[in-house]
Amino acid sequence: MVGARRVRPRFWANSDWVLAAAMLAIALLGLLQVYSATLHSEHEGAFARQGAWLMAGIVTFAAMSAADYRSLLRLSPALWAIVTLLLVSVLLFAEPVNGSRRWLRLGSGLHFQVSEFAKLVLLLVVARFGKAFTTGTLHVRAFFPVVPLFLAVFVLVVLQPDLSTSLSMLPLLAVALFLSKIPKRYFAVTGLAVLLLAPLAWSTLKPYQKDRIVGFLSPTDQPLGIGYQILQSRIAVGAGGLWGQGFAQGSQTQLRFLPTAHTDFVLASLAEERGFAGVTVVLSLYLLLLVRITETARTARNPEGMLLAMGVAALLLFHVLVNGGMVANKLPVTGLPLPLMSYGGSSLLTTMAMLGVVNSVRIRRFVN
Amino acid sequence: MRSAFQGRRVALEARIVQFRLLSACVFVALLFAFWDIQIGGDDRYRARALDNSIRERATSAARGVIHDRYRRAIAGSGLKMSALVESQDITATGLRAIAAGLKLDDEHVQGLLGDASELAVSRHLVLKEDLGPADLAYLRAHRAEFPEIRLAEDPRRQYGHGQVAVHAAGYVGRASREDLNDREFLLVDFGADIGKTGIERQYNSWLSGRDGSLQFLVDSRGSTLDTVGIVEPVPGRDVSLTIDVALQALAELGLEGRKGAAVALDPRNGDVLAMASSPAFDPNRFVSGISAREWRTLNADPDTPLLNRAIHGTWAMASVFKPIVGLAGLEAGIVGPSFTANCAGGLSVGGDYFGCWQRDGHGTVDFLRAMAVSCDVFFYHLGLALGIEPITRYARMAGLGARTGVDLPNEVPGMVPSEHWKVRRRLQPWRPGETAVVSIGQGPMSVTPLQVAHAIGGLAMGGVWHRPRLVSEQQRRLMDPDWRPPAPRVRAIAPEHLSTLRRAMWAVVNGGGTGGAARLAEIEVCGKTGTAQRVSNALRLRSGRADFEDDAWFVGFAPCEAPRIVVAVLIENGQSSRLAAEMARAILEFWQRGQASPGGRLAGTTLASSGGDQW
Repeated sequence: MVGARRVRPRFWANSDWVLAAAMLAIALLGLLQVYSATLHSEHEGAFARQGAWLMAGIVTFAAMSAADYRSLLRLSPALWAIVTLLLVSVLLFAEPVNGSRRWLRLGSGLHFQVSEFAKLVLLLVVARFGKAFTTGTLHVRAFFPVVPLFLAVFVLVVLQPDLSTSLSMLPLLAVALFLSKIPKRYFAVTGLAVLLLAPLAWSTLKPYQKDRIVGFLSPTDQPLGIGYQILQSRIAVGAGGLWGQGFAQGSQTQLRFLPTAHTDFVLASLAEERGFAGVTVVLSLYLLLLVRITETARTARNPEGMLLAMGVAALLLFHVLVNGGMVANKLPVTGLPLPLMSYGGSSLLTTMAMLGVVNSVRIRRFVN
Repeated sequence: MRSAFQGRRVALEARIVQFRLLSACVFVALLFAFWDIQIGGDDRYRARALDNSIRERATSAARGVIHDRYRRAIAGSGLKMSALVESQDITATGLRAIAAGLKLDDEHVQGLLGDASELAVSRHLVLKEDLGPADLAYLRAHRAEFPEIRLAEDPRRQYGHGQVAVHAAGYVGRASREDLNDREFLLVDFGADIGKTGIERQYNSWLSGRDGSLQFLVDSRGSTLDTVGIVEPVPGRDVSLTIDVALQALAELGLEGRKGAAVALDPRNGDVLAMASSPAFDPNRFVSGISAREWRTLNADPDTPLLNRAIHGTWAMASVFKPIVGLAGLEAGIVGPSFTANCAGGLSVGGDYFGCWQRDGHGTVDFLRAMAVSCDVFFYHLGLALGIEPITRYARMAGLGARTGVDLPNEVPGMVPSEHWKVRRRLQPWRPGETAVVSIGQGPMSVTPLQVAHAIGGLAMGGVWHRPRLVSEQQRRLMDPDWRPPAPRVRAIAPEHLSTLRRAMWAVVNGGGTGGAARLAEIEVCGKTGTAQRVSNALRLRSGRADFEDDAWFVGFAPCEAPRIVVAVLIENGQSSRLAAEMARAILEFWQRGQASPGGRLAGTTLASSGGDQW
């Protein structure tokens, strides 16, 4: 029974503890920042709720780590069907918030953002059906059934409407393509398509989406419009300096000049109170996380495992880039949260579940 | 089972390494972006953050008291209550409701709404300053409806004593954009109170002190969280004027209901003892932010109550110019015991006929008689004998047609005509007829009442003209240790000519002359009357318009031999110089009584009883 013993996953010994530690460190820094950003505000309950979500997240991470990712992959068609149904019902039944239907009421004041959960499902779908991306030269056949399944969810999220969340799913496909061996002519075709579609895309943008882009390009033009957020974020970040104003001491955060300081702009709040030093620590932790995830991808025994890990890495990189770039005034304002840090249970749980899946791949790297 | 996956393992691992490189690049790029703002931004953003959260409210300094020469307050300082509201706490409908209660006019409400919408973040708006008892009662009664309204208490300028000397003292008001362009108001904030006219403006920096401020922390909704800094205001310093409030009040009383000016100077040093102008206005109206409508009404008033007639208005000098023409004649050696004229009621000069005010004529008059009865024909003859040049020279010597340099803003120079002026401005030669007209103080000559008092005062002093002043030498040195008093203008005049002139002006008042109404038993008064034509006599009689009536002048000094006061009175459309002479006598009499027993007079006046120290 020596062989059998060798192939059994050893949870404690094979888990990626560095990954877990980095994840927890980021989540705790985020939790503290949520505490500071909601101090004496009407969001004061956010800290306790986020704490509870973090507990749930740790349990989810452990559960996902313990579960065999291949069972999850087998479940993925069913999960896809569920998430598609949920997205349809969100469109049909959810109360619009700020003109968009994103949250499903779970009773007792809990709301669940289905589109976050959809990311996890799409991750599984791409890994389950995307094996062809990792093997041989890319062929159109490889897109089936991954792309239709992906697009169904994508379009349902676009319809909510939530363009930024739907765009944030694209890295899953992108990283699969990145891993594949693509004939050169594909690049030419894609480039041409992008060139042709870009103007079309602009014309289909909603006015508020155009405002965000324009506001990003010239923030001082409209001090109270979308430019106000950008400007206040820059002031908050700049006021942080090297060492920051001190925990719960940032005037932009504490006096509510910084909008959504505990959600989308939590990094701006941290930048103000912890300074460049704090930002460096947080970004380094994300980089460490990415290194560990890609290490799991590298050592994965099978295409599914690699696609899972790389998918999570791509999602994470994309979110950190888009959110960080927004806070640092280098990218337009989008509603994308900073994974693990921004207040919000759906995002936190989904991210920790994904990292659990990665850990599951890692634990089973020696298992056939 | 070596799969296709295992076969591409190397290529896949290379991709993963590439992905790591990409991640590292993103990490570095983000770090650079944050560095750029957090370290490269220096303290710029910290200042912006402070700007966001620290609001400042100016706390006005109390202005210095303006005293008269006996330290009785002309302008003091009281307290005012203002109603404030944070701009974001107020809606247009709410504002209109309050505006109705506080009786704010529409224009003001529109302005407030404009201010409120313009402000990116909340600032407090001043709904109404200087709330009256009715306003306070209203706000108290409606406290529950308008919880957002705060009351603030600030010092305010208060002009007491029934608003005495309002033109000389001036008034304070909200600094306008134009005011801020002025160099002297470089350090003044928009909306602060500054001296607008008179002494308030002339010595604004001394009087105003320095405003303090309150700094407090606000959040993005503008709610005040905490006071973080207090800069105490530095109160302004007091100014003592040379004005005697009692004399001033008497002069103003005399002018009441008429348009005109009265100036009393001490010819020995230039001290302005009284400077009255009528009609007047209530300077307190300006202090609490005068409404646009009220301002327009005051400005458009045909009686120009805002004008300080003593220095801002010019009139034909008429016969009060005759002493100067006479002096020119004496000095030129033309006027002597043998120089007489036969007045038959008028004189023909170069084809034009110039009448004497006395249609029936004065008969044969010498200089003393001609002055006493103000015979125009005598002065036509004298003027023609002199020519225009000496007349112009002596007029300018006496300070006519030029600013006296009194320490008040915007004094006007007036004008003394000359041959040179006529040729240059009108491109016409000077005609002898014009000399005749100027000799009796008519024609293109215009002077201010202050100039007349100054000119005759200097003559009375034997040719020593002190610059008129409202602030004593001692006070000026206090304001500026480097300040040196300007030397008086001195001209050598033969003493015998001066005594002849004095005798002539004595005769005007005491020798059966035109100024008999100014005669006093206790003190010898010398003087000269004048009646200035506004339009031709024919037109005046035909039209019957009150504003075409002649302007009445009197200028006099006392005591004749050693003058200590000179008084000039101008009454617009006063018709007869008798009125002006009577007013001058009242001023001189009051002054004389005060000189005889200062304490007694001061105690006896109601003005003194309200005291200078109540502020």
